[in-house]
Amino acid sequence: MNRRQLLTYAGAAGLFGVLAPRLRVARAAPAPANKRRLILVMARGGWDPTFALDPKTQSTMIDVPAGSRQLFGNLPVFTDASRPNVTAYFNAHGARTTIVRGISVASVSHIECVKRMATGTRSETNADMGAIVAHDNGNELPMPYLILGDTAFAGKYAVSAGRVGNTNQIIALLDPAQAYQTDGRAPVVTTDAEDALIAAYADATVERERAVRGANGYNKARLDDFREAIDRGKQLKSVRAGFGSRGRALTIPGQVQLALDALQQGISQCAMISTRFSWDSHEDITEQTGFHEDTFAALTGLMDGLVARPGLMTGSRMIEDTTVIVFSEMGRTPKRNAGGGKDHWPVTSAMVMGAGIRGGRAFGATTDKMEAAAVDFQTGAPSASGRVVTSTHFVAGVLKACGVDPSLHLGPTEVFGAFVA
Amino acid sequence: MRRFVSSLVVVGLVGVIGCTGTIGPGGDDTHGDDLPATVVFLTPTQHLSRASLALRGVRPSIEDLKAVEADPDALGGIVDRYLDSPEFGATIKDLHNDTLLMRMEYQPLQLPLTATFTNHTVVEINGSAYEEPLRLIEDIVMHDQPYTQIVTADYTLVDGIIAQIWGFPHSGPANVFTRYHWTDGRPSAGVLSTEVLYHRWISAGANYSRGRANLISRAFLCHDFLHSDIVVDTSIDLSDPEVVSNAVVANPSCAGCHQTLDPLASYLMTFANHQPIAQLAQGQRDYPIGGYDPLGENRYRGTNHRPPMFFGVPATKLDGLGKAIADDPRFARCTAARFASYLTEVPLDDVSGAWVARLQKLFVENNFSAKKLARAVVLSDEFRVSHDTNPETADRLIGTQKLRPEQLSRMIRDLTGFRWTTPSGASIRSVPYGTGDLLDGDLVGFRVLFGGIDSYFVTERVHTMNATSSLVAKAAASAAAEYIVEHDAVAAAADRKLFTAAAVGTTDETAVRAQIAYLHARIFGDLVAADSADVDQTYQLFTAAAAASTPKRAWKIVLIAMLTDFRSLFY
Repeated sequence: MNRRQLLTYAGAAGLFGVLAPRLRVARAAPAPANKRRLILVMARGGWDPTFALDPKTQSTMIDVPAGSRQLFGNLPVFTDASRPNVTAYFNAHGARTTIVRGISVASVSHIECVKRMATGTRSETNADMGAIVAHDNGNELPMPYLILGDTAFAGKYAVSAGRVGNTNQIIALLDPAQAYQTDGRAPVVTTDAEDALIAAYADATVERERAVRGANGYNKARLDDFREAIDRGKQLKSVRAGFGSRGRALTIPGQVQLALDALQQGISQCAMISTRFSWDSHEDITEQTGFHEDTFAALTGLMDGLVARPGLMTGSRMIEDTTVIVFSEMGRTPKRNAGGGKDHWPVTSAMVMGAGIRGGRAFGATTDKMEAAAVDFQTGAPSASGRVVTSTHFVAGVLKACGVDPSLHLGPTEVFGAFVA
Repeated sequence: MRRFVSSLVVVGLVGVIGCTGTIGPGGDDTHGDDLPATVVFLTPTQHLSRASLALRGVRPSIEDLKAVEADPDALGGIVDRYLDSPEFGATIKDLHNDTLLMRMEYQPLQLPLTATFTNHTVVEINGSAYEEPLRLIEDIVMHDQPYTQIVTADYTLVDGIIAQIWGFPHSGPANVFTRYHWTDGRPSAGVLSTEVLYHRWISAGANYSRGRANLISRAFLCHDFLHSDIVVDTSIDLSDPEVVSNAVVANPSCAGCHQTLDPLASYLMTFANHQPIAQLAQGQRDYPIGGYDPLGENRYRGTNHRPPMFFGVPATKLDGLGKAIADDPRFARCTAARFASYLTEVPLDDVSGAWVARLQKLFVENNFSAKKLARAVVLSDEFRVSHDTNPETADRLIGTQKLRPEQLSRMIRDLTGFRWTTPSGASIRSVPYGTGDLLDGDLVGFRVLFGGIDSYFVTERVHTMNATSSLVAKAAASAAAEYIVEHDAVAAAADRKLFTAAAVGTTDETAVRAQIAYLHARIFGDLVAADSADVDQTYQLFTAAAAASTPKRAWKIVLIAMLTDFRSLFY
């Protein structure tokens, strides 16, 4: 029995064994070693890769911030004394980090680019990387996909996803002591025995509805989700301590700790985190210095946590079974605009860290004009006979790194798997 | 012929679970030609419940259920009454917010709070200022003005807060909305003339209102420029506004979209609120701000260099734009599709084209009456589908709809008189947050956790249950049960809201069963006898709960179970 199973049986199943038979059965089989966990960190608004991930030289074609190219092993990064947290991150975790450059999103609209980078598709009704990995690798957990940030796409796996709210108000649903009062009156707090009665009542309805009009198709799925959601909610209550108190999810360090806790305690398989910065620097690109600093400080905390905390298998660490993706939906124009900002650009870079990846190097490339360069999909190196890496190719690679078959979710797409170990 | 076959296939099933039909129950000519032959329809009372919840967000009364049970043809008249109810007005606002995305609590994009608002709360300000376009649409629809008025009307709705923000006159109680006809020279273009729309959809400096233009195109014409792929020509110096301005006109890779997008944006530069907003945020000035700036009509000359134009058709000023939108056949079609999509929870792109075409025709022929359109939707075969007996096609047939958070809030309030709120101690720039509706907010509330949208980060609803929506439903039910049972336990019989057939403390089986039958009718929309199997099941729940506690406690458990039941949360 691995750690997750131990925690699960000691916690949720112990309290709610009667109420959650299906989830508990599904949990019985240990996941294959490559069925990884995933933490997504989204820098919404469009970051400028020239600040760290994609070193460039100042020229008539491109404006870059202060700094220079620095090698961390085989990984070149753009660093500067004004961005010490960036340097500190790569000093500590560069060997566990891959940079994928030159990802084409083929749009300069935030909404479009977010869904393309998150889902690898053009539709917001499709599930994003986190929802897919959560469903395929950890659907037996109470809340397989924990959405701490703001934007996420659960698609058809909505029943497996859950949000904590802007101020972590989910705790008001989990902990009676922190429940909201209306006009000074507290809600009814049900006992386990009463919950069992209510669940049995719901079960009877589900069976009746299933027989009458929910035998198949959309209706059946809604009935299944309805019943499964009750079990998941009960299991969440059993691990409520991991959610802390209201207000915890407001900052990126707070989200990092919550995500680490949720994964470690077997609450979730995947977590979506937001940097909480608006990277859309149309008016002053220099503000991205501060965004990079705060983000990389949090990423150092995240990676330190993954290295320090116990993993799924005895004696292992979370870093061995958890993949981390840090991405932004688009990049910024090569040149500053008249106001000193940079506008939207349909090419971006991303970081992939942790389990399942070939760390300490970069794959993909951009040209001197920040165009997405053609690359060889096997080596990830620039190649005149190669192809441009699109958001779909990238997402497919992430899914592969996490032990998920991309073709089951994205169709017969090509996988950019050069960074996958 | 297919309809005939359909009737043959399902006729054996409909006695208990549904019914077939060759014509909409309201007598409308609303054939569901695109429906599979194996579809089964709701019973008339189930159809009534769905119509009531879709249009109003509340369950039908027992009287209405009985009327339809006795005569299915009564449904049309009842729907007409629903369309005149304030709850339908609330639904109209909900429907349009899904498109205009006004109800957001994302602080960086909200109007700066200043000393002007000392006597208000953030909840009050949000519920007023950002609702202005939605209230105008509600006013137009509820007074059955032509729906085209939403882009051509010469007035808006103003309360005390809106008056303070934009400097409009307002008399009477601050929380009462009154019509105000603009006097600052702004063209009459309905919601396009409401300044708050442009504050919500603020345009970045060099974007020149293109985002706003796409909002208008997407919202009113269902034409979304953003769905196109782009290939940036990197030979262009994107840092030079002049070069960019020329490229979007002359460069083929840019002009494909910009030749129609930019002229649309050129209409929208007459509300230049960047500077006053910045001054407000920095404490350099106070409200009121804004006002129509006629000089903005020529601002395109110094920005995108595209004269105002509506998809290649000349139209003068903002009112010309509104009229051009209203006259565009895409407007009627888009409206029909959006109403059908919202009221059925079918994704916009998946709504049957044939059905939309029928609805569009009816809509136009009835002088753009949104009420007639909504009526046609809910009386259509497509609306009253229950399920599909063919597993091959059942995935594509949406036969159950999940309550949205707004509907859950209204349903609970209608059933119990309880509004799920909580006071927050938070404040934003010294303005207290106030008492939040827990199903209608994101800072303290659970709107998104129950599958709703926050109108900024989350713009797609979730129409199924998950862990958090289940927990929210349970919490709302627990709070409502606590309230109503305690209330009715001490209220005089005539003042009881829900316990009309039995006192809360009674254990008499006949009385308890009668009360349970009443609850089934009110909460599930099921007219069942007190000795029916359905009531048996709920009675068993009552007795089991009462055995461990008191009748009062047992009723609370019964109500929680019923309010969180599939039959309550789905329709």
